[in-house]
This record gives sequence, structure tokens and C-alpha cells, in this order.
Amino acid sequence: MNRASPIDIASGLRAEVRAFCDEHLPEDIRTKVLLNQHVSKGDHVRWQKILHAKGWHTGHWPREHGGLGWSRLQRWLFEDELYRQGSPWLVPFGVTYVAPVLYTFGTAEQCARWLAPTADSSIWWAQGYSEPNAGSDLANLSTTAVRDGDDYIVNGQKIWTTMAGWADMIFILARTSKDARPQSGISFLLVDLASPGVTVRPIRSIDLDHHLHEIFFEDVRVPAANLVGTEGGGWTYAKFLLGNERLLSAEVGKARRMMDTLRGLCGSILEAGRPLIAKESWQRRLAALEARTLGVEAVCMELFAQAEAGADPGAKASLLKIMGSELLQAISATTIDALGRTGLSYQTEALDPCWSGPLAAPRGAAGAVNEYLHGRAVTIYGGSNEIQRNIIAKAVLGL
Amino acid sequence: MGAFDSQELSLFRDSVDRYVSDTFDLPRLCASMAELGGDRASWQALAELGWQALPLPADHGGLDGGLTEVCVVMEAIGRGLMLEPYLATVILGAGLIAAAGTDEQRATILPSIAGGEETLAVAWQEPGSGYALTMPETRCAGGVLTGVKTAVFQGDLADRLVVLAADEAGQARLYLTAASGEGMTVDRHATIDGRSAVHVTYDGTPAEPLADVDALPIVERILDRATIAVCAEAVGAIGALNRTLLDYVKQRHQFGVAIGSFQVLQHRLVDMAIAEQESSAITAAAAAALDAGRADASTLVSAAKVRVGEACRFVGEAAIQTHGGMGMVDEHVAGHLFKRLLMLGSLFGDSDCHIDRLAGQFH
Repeated sequence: MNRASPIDIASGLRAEVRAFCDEHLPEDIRTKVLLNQHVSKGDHVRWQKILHAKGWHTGHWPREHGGLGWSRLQRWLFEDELYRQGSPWLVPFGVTYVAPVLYTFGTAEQCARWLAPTADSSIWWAQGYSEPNAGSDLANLSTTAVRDGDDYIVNGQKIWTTMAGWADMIFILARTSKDARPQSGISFLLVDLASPGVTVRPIRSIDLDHHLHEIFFEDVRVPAANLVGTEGGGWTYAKFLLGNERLLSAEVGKARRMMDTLRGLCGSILEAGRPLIAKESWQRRLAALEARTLGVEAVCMELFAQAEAGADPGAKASLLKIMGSELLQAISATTIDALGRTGLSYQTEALDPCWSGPLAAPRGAAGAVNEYLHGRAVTIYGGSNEIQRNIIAKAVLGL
Repeated sequence: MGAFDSQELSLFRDSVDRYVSDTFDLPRLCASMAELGGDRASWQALAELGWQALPLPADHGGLDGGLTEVCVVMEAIGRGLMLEPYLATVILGAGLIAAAGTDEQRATILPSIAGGEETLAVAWQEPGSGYALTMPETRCAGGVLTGVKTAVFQGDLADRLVVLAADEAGQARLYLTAASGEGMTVDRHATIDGRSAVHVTYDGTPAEPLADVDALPIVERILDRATIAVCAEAVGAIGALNRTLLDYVKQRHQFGVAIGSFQVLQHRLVDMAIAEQESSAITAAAAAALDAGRADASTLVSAAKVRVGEACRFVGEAAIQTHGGMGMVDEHVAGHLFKRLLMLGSLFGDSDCHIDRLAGQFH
């Protein structure tokens, strides 16, 4: 069979996404993203609905569930080009994390109930994995779900839950049995955050935002119909989900957007009257970051091309997480170096798109500082980079 | 050499350390960073302990202390995440008044700083200057200033500003202005570490000149001293962050063991300890060179800022990473120390900037 090469797929899809963004990405949203200002829940939903109307929001879902049957390469290219063009982060908890678990392991009833409102963004999902004593060691989680008639009764605490304040539903890992080895007593449950006994508290983070949350479950009744797959099978679904998360984790498009921001700042920040970009040392720094970006992109294309040919990237997905996250941090750290020349201000008020007071640094500076501080988390979440390196050492190198 | 003998220095260090451990209050710090720096009662308390008087000349109410002694105070400020405008007032402001003030200015302002009554900040950077000390575009003519000054560190906490401007003859000179008022626009903004700076636009603002001397070499000398003061503050913050992380990796258990038992983290903490040791040693060496007036002092200053600046970034980022999610939380001390280190790494030139300065000697 004569299949299109990955390069052809890439250039075709990229061009299509670029043209679509030019025409349909609302200018107010794009501006917020390019300045890294606060994007509201309404902004996210508005844009995701536009993408959904085109079929792209769930392009990676199978056709029988209303998707376009995209390969992993196509999904990655789509998101990558989207971020390059100034799209907000496509909140993955629903369409990319929980939905594939549902259509792979869930019942027909669960698919019928949850997939459509997830696709059109009328349900906002949160991810309930980490706990205070279960971070890197996720299997150590202690939230419990005890069967009581047609319900489970859930008790425990989840933490670092991104955007939970906006969420309607959360998928959690909870312990349904204690006797077996840690991984085998875990189940995957869908919990309505409006249930009695659920408390969601924001956590203020070092960037002074409130995206992170802790969630307390106190005798929360969850219908047994919300158990996904088999009781005790949660660890398998969790690993499946984390594998998908890692595979999409190299955000080259975002890296390019951050490079554009950095280049712009280097053109406007002066040292002894000359823009930084005119200094050879800064040209070399930008060039080194550019080369590194191309390197990460090349690795992505290679691994996705292999996946296209039927090879499961498996543990190599961890390599994408490491390379992608550390690239973003390298670019944002260099941006901080540039901004040092202007006094390293952090005007959080400038992150509000409606604010129009005096700026202490070039436009976009506050967003860049926010990106740097917030971005310390990219090597921590989704399995810290130390854990990713352990995975590669063991599963790829056989150490 | 510093002005204190080793026993005096040790007593002074004890009193500084005691003050910091008695007053450090993280929840209060998190809740009201914007206001605490301007707390005049704590500023007075420092004066009673002799902090402000420390480096000032004895004939104007000071203790004639050297930079070596100042480093003791600055380390404590870093360790305790203190917000008082010591750097702006004592190292920069009083430093310039002592070096370039008229006899009358020295006789009135320095005792008032030593007594904890007056605070200053220094406006030397401009929108086009970056880290470079260059001929200012701000001008003074007919007794009034016109121009723009940026990144005036802790300028919102100052009673008066010391401003670098060009006089009518085109010579760089220092002036005193009010911190706010008629003929000037002052915009306060937060810095990355939660402290503050101001952006000042002068438009016909009355200004009082300091002595009629070329200001650039004087400012350069005071910036060298301030650079080492900042390195010492970083040494204090690096030490505190390393201690915090060491406790954490011993207490935090994952996979049934303390995470400090993992070799990859052990090696990281060792590298952080090495960075602390080197930062402390090179800062002390540069302070001693400045105190002794050695010819190579400026080289050591830049070398110190290169190494300490790199340590600030490395230790800060590594500490957040190793704390995991807790490192991202505003209520935890690690994030505050990290952001303080980012600011200190940047003040008066980052590593890159001081490498440029050192590179000049290889021409």
C-alpha cells in the first residue's frame, strides 16, 4: 500500500492548521497567549468549541466515537502547529487523557454518557492522581473507595490538581483493596466534583497564580457505574494514560513561540544603548537554542514516523518528555537573563488582559517571568524527569 | 582587612544571627511582602543593633566597618529573606554620600542613616543602559532634572533618591531628589523576588547636587561594593536553601525510603554544597580585596559575581526540582529563596555580563 510519508503528512497538516488559525483563532485569545496573559475558562472553551466544529478537538479519537482516526503523528503535529500559532493549551484532561481510557476500557454506557460532552467541552475534567504521599511513587496512593451497595464511598486527598477550580468531573485513582501488591488494589473512578463531601482548595504557587489545587474527599458517594474497567485494574489504565501524556509532551511548537518572544525581547532590550540581539554573544545563545529546538523536533519526527510504521515507542516516550521539558526551561531561563537588564520586574497585574497601567519592562515581560516560574513544574509533573530517566535506564538501556 | 578583630566579628555575627532567627516569620512574609520592607519599627531595631552604622565613617556616627563585616549582615538578610532596604540605603545610598557628598551632606545624612531615620535608593540605570554603567542621558540644568531612571531598587521605600545625571557641562554627577512629588512621576512595581523597584520620570524636578566631582568612577566603585554585598546575600540564601533541601530529602519518603538515599539526588546535593562553599569563599576573598584596596579587586568582584551568579541559578532551580510539587508552593520557603536568588543573580550584572567584563583582559 502506498502511504504518505511522515514528512508529507507533516507539511500538509501544518499548512492546514496554520490557515485555520489565521481565519478562526480569535484575536483576543491569540494576543493573550502570545503575551502569556491569563486565559479564562471561557476563552479555553470558546476556542475548543471552534476546533470541535472542525472535528479537530477529537481528531485523535477513533471514527466510531466521532473522531477522525488520526495517528499519534497527526495529533502531535496538529497540537504542535496550533501552539506555534498562538493557540491556548488544549486542556488534555478530557479529550486526551480520560476519553481514550473510556473508549479503550470503558463500557458502551460510559462512552455514551461521557464522550460527547467531553468532545464539545461542556464537561471540564480534572486529573486526580498525585497525593501528598504519592508523587513519584504513585502506587503509594492512599485514597480509598469502599463498595457500599450501588456506590463506592471515597475518602482521601488529591494534590497538584491543575485547573480543578474550573472542573466539573475528576477521574481518580483510588485504592479498592489493600491486601495485594500496591499496584493491583487500585481502581479508576469518575467523580462528580459537585458531590457532597468534596472540597476543592486552590494552592498559590511561586508564580503567584492559583492553577494548582488540593481536593479533599470525605465520605463521597460515587455510583459504582462510574468505575472504569475492572475493579483493581486502575494501574493498567493509569499507565496507558500516562503513556499518552508523555508522547505528546514535547511541545516544540510552544518552544518556537517562546523563541519568537525571546527574539523580540532581545530586539528591544538595550545594553549600553545597543539591542541585545546586536551582540555576538546573544546571537550565539539564540543560535544554540534554535539548534536544540531543531534537535528535539527531529527526535519527535523520528519516533512518530516509527510509530506510523507500527512500532510502539514504548518507554522512548520518556525521552520526549525529558527533551521537550528541558528545552522549554532552557529557553525561558535565557529569557530571564535578557530581562535581568530591565530589573527583573514581575508585574502580575500585567497578566490581566484588561490592565493598562505603566510597564516597567517591554510588553510581554511579565508573561515571560510567569512562564519561567510556572515552567519549573514541567520537569516535575507527569512523572518527574528523574523518574523518566529511571524508566529509560531500565526499559530502554536494560540497566 | 576588615575593621573588626576576629573576636569582635564573631560577637557581631552572633547578634546578627540571633536577630534573624528571632524575627523570621514565613507566614507573615507570604502575607504581606509588599508592606514589610517599609516597616520603620524594624528598620529602627536594626539601627539599634548597629547594622546601618556598620560601614559608615566613625566621624559621622558610623563604626568604620569594612565590606567583610557588611557581608555578615548581607548573608543574614539573604538567609532570613529580609525586606528592609539595607542594600539600597546603606551600601548604595550612604556609600555614594560618603564618597561624593559635600561636607555638609555627609555631616547631616550619614548620622541620620546610621540612626535608622533616613532611607535612600539610587537611580543609576536608564532604559537604554541595561547592566552597563554609561554616561547618563538624564540631565540637570538650572537646578532641575529631566530624564528617565529605571529599576531603582527599593525606591518606593526611600525618603530620597540619589540620581546619576549629566550636568550642564556634560559631566556625570550625582544629585539628591525627593522620592516622589512635584515634577516627577514614580511608578512602583514588584520585582521577581516580591521586593520592589520604581521607574522614575523626571520632568523639571528640583535636585540638590552632591560635590562637583566626576561621578562615574565613584559609582563604579560603589557598584563593585554593592556587587559583593549582593553576593554575600546570595551566600546566605544559598545556605538556607541547601539546609532546607537537606532536611526535606531526609524526611520525604517515596518507594519506602527517604529520597535522600537516591544516588542521583545525593550527587545533586553534593554539587549544591560545593556551589555554596565556593560562593562563600570567593565572596569573602573579593570583600577582603576591596577592603585592602588591592589593584586586582575589580577582577575578583567580577569573578565572584560570575561564580555566585551561576550558583544562584543552579542551586535555586535544583532546589525547586528536588522539592517536587512542594517547591512550586508559595507557602514553602524554598520558592521564596529561589526567587530571591534569581534577583540577586541579576542585580549589578548576571554571570554573563561579568564574564564579558573579565573577557576584556584577554584582548
